[in-house]
Amino acid sequence: MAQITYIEHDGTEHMLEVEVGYSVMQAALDNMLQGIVAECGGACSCATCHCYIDEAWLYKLGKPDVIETEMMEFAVGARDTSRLSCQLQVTEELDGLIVHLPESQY
Amino acid sequence: MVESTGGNSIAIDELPVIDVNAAYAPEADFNAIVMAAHENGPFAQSSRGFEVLGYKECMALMRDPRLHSDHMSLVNAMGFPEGPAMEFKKAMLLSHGRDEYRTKIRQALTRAVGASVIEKQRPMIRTLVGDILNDLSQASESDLLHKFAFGVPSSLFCLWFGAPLEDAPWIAGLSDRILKIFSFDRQYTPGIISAYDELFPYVQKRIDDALESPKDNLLAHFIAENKAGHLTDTELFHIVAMFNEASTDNTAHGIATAIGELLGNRQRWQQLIDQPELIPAAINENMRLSGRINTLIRYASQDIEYGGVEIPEGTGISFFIPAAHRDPRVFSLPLEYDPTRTDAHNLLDFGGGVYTCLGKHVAMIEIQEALAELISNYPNAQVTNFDISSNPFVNEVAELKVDLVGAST
Repeated sequence: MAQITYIEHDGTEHMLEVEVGYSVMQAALDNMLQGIVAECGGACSCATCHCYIDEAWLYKLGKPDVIETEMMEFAVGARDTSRLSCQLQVTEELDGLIVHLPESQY
Repeated sequence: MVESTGGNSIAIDELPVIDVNAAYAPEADFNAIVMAAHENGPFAQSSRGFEVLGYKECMALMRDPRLHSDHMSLVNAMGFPEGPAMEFKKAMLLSHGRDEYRTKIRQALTRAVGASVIEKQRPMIRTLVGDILNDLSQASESDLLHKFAFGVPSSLFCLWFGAPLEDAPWIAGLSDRILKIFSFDRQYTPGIISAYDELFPYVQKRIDDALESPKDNLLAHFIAENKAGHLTDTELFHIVAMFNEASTDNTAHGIATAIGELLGNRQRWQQLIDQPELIPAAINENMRLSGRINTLIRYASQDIEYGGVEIPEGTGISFFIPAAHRDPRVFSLPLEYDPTRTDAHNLLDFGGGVYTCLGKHVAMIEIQEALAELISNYPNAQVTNFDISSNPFVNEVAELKVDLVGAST
């Protein structure tokens, strides 16, 4: 398990214990968090699970692959710290990860 | 070449013409027609209307909020009478645009069969695939289409929804009849309606049985969502019915196509025997060149200007998937099969954006495990008859006969 903190746009924090192997997106959806829509179910196909990674954690995630990078073009308000949470597989090393959720996914 | 000059866009009827029907004629050179069309740009016009040939243009327009799907147009064109099937069609997910209902149902489905969740079911699916393969006759010609390709997803439906496994062939038959809607041919409509008439009481029985004797399966997950207030009784019923529609037929043809074309080519098959780690990429690459879906349709919700083309409100927009998958601006040597290609992009068969098929994850696992088990158990198998037909909307396997023991005897 790894502890992931999701911070909504209004500052509301949610701390979740997430099973290793799950995606950051799936955990948000399973726990009914607002802010992650995830219309494609984790297919890296809709860019509605967009999140911002706390800079202290960015390097631990490695770089997004080609498909995620292409899909990021469709994310609203993408920045250098943007990732698609469906592509972030939870590992023990990500225990303590902090992700910030955008104001809107559309 | 389509160009937007001086800010002036052109009308659809000014675009180059592609004869999509002619491309699928038996004597036609499909690849030559598509590649010639690409030389004229990413868009074309046809008797269907506006054609999107470019991969990047498909990617963008599939995700464009100014477009919507309209399954009810197809339902009406097929002449569905008023009744339970029509009511189901009006209510189901496919008929909803970008609304809160769609998101709610899709999130419930993602909690059940999203990528991370379904990956945990891979070992169970592998066992199921192995059991079905073991039960096959090793006669000189095994009917892998009906007994294996259809057997895997229909048996999985039975396990998920607490049905007896012996119902699997009947489940597969229902799905096959129901998905004839995508033939755009009204001769199939009575068969579709009668299939729904058989399906609905069957679905209710599954739910009633599960409420009486709960099991640890997918239906139990949806019932828990129902009890938690996330799904209404009607939504629960519709989801189970929808799984029959969506989970069997397309996956079965995906499995059969992968086997027919990869096993049917000794060089490709040997590569997978030698490097089984290439199986997922090989399936994707084969799907790029020979997928199940040939056209996806969206409609313009408003007047749109895109890529130098004026698209009036209500225009049907055909995403010509095999053309996009051969886009030379995106795929190097686009007509060549290469499971090691570095420019493998997201495939378009499952749609995109908010309309992406949520069954994608489990479908790909089923195809991967089917192929892996076949390679592992019957590396010397040989295709004795593979018949696949194509039309502008789908590719359909009509026959897949395989000598499982093959050259080893």
